[in-house]
Amino acid sequence: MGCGIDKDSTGRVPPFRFASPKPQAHPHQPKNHNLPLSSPLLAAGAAAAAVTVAFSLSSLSFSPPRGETIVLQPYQLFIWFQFNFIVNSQALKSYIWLQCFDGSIQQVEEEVAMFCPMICREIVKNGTGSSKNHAIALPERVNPTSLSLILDYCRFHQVPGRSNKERKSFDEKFVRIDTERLCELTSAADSLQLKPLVDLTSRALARIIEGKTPEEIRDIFHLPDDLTEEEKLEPLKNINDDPRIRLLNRLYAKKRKELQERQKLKDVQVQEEQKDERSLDEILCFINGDGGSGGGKASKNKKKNKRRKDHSKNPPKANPEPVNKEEATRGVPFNAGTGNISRTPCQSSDVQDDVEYPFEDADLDDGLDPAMQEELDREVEDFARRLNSVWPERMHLGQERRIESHMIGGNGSLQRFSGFNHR
Amino acid sequence: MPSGEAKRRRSPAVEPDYLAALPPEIVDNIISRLGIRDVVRTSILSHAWRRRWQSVRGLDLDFRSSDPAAAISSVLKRSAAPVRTVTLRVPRRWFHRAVRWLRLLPRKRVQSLHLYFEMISIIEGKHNLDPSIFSCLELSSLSLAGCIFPPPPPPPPSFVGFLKLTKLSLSEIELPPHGERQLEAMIAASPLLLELSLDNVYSIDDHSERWFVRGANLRSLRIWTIDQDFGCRIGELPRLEDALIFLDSEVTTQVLCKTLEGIAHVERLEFNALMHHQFSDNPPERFSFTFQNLRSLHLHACLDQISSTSLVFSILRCAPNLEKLEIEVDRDDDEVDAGSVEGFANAQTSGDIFPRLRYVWLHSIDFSSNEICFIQFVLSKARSLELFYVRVSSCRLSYQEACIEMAKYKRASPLARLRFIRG
Repeated sequence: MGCGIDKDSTGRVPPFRFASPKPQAHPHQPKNHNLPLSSPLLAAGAAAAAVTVAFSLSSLSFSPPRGETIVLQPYQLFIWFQFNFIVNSQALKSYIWLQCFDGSIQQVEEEVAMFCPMICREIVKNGTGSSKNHAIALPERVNPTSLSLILDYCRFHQVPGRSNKERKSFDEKFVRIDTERLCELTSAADSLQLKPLVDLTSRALARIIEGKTPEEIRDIFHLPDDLTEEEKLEPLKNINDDPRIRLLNRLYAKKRKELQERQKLKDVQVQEEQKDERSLDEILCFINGDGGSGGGKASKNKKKNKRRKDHSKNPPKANPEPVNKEEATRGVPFNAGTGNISRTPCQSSDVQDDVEYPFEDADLDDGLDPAMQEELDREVEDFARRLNSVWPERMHLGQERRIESHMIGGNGSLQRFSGFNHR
Repeated sequence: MPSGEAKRRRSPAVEPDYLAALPPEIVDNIISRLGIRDVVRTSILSHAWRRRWQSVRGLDLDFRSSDPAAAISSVLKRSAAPVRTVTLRVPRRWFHRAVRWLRLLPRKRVQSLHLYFEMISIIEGKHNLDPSIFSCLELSSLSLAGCIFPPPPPPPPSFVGFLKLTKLSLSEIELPPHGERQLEAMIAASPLLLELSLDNVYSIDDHSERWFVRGANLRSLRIWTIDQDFGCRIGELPRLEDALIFLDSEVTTQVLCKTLEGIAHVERLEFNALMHHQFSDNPPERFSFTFQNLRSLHLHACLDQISSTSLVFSILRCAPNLEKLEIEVDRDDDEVDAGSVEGFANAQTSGDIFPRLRYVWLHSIDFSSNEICFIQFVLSKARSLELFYVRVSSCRLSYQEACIEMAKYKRASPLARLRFIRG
């Protein structure tokens, strides 16, 4: 029979004690047993139960009362177990009712809903959710789409038997939705306090933002592009103690004034000026050093051509020492020496950087001075823009994150510290 | 479009901003997961985002040596919220700037700090580290490389220790006079310290003071010295599990034994067993302690030298629970002591050696007679051996010959598989 009951010494199977029904696991839990009575199997089970009880009643012997015991024969036992199994596995599930802000109501299995801390609290403390009329009111930020996604997540993860690999794989597929939906999902998960899902979606959003230019990010997230033209083209005040850069800043400032004057005249001319502005911007980016990457020969040549154009336009505005400085400027990356400085013949930038300029001491202040603040803002923005002009950098991003070792080789010889050179 | 004054361009105004719908903490969380370059790029996304990154908590400021110094300064100054990580790779010409950068750090409540100073040659002096790092009391991980350890700031305020420090890594550090005492105190005052790594930490004095490494919670210890015994001795390390000890080959036998005794309770050990035989007596045949917990042993040895071989055998005799043995043969001179292994192998009289040994790796073997003897010895004694792996650097025998040779050796374990690889 497989019931695991041994025969006793008389050879008869001892009577099975019909256990009284188990008490509800939670005293406050509303008894919400949705019995789909139309189920034929269940009807058969119910019938079987009725038959079983009838049989056992008939075979009750009038022995001294031994409490609430009903005697069942083994075949009756079998039917009893079957009944129990059917009932528990199918129909006796509890369902929780959830209502979104827009009024739509959804029904979900209890164990799935309990995975969510906020819903769990509502059920336990307030007893809501047991019926359609007393559905749990979800916060405003949870819309029906997000809710169904969240419930899918809960339904998968609340099953205890899943391996980590399975969960990870599910998570990866789960966040492959469009960005708008992902943002809504993050918001909804946060209001339901489902921290693992918030972490998962935040990571996914971070991965989306990683490595993209601001234009792309604005495009994806529909951010307003509301930096003024002026803000975008602000001159780089004192970003470097290099006099060559300051020279160019002066040139740039003069150019900007010119632009403003011409703007007052005609629209058409303004268009042309803007073209010039851009070329100057590119030059600055190039000169200010784009990480020594150069971007390949093609872009280098393009920039050199534009520089020559600039040359020819600005002779009257040039400083007393135009030729030397601008020639030298061609190859100056004022960042730290990397292996890529193939185009720099002169290393005088090192000397320049070592000399302390008076305004450097001003940097020691906390930058509370508003003018200093503005300057710092400009530096940061310039850095940001410079990052954008460095396309090859994007390709190196993945590699550079992986390079982290800074251990010295263990063969007993003094070596130069190698981790430093990885950048 | 542009009128008398600059006008803010707006993208199609109807489109909502997805990220604006999220609560600000979530967006901050997303930003904090990005690398520093992406974080700074967000400042030019739109007007609202200009300063947003500065108040995000938990940023990872990982600067490269190719970043312009002005950008590093401005980012460091502008990030107002507590940051998680700061990594600076400082080339020589920015050493003076680095002083200013370091002074900005205590305010940021940095948790993880990595400072790598460029080292060009031994002759040029190292950079004097600014004592302001002692004010970074939130540090849980500190890595310093290539500088002179600062003396503690004069009291008040006196520096007790980094109370939250779990990981300390010092590499190529020069200690000032009495710096050993200070380092000892600092390590002892960090109760949570789990990992300690001292790579070529030395004192400018010729005669270093003796000091002890102590740590109630220390799990992993790495000491690597060359050319000098810098006075470090093993103190109380009750929880040590992992040790990598590369002592200078000129330490006395007594120091060697004391060191091994101090780490005898580890589970994994990597050790330099290359000794200069002129300067030290041979180690005792058996140590007075046993490596009771040692499961995995990685030795750098030279089986052709008696001094090294004797140390190898001494250790092996005292490691009853060893499961994995890895020996990397390192020939620093071509002297060969014939019969070095044979002597020890034959002297192995009583007792079980390698009762639990399962995996053996031998690297850079070139099948000298001593090495063959060692292989035979291990194969004949290791009863539980499962895998024996030999990597050959240069070999007088051909591959087939060597395979056949090895297959002939008597094996104590029927399960043992031999693998033989070139290169």
